Amino acid sequence: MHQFTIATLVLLLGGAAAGAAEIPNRIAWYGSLKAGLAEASRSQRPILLVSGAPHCHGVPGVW
Amino acid sequence: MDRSFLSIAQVVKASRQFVCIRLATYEDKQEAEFLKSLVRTRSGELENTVFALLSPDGRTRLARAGRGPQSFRSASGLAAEMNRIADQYHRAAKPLWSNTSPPYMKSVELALNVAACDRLPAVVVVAANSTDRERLETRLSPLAWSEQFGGKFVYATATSKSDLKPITKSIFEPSVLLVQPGVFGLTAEILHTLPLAQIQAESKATPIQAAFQAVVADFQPQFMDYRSHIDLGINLDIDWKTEIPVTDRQSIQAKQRSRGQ
Repeated sequence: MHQFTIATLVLLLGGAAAGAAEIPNRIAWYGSLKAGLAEASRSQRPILLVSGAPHCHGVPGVW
Repeated sequence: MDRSFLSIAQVVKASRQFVCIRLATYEDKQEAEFLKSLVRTRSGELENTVFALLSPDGRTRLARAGRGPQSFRSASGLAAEMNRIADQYHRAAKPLWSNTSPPYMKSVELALNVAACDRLPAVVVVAANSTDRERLETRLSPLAWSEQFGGKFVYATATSKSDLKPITKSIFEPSVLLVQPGVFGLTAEILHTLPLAQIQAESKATPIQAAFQAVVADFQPQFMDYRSHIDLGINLDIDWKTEIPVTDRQSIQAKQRSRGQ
């Protein structure tokens, strides 16, 4: 398990939870190009398009 | 993914006049081809991030497309440009949020990953067939696109038992699951289970709305700082497999260095 330490395990299991808080307003994203383009065509609204890889160094869970 | 622009209240407000599409790079061949057509990069290849403002048919760039919104210099600059563009389309535009479906991602796995990135809960619609799914969506979709809950959950559908593998103690029965992704988004725990029968029996005071409200009001995302996240992931030998090969050279080289390859 390489350099996996007890301290790391503690961080993973106990130290990673943030305090509870109301989720602030966010942009409401379509998750697929097909659905988003269909809605833009129907509603005649302009499109805000972004893309990002949901992994860094191959590790998921972080943009 | 940019947090300094896209999380700012002015930009969120301006986004309500747009159809907002966020894709996961390297997770769909056709989407990747579309993204690559928008931005000319030095390498000629699709790089990790793309940002564009487009006409409703998706064919015309309404501002300079690039790897991020930084060319607008500030979030207020981006919001002002978005408002200016929206004004041009105002007369022809029809109301949003009319969809019959929530904004699903391609798979449960990808949705959990993205939810972990966003530090948001996820919603999984469990249905083996379209009839059950549509019954669940009748109650779910208006919430998914509401001002109150829009953008606060990441959505996916599970059409087989194997889709639910990452979700602890899940049962493959027609239902809506509100789940909390783990740090890496590879696993998730159930916060609320709303069976189809319960959802169909709902009266005006809806349990599904109450569950959404409870999660939004009291959500505790699992996350750690960026460096710790990456170090731990590498130490655990976690390696996300993209649908298509990553073509961002800097990203490839950084991964090789960090993993001693």
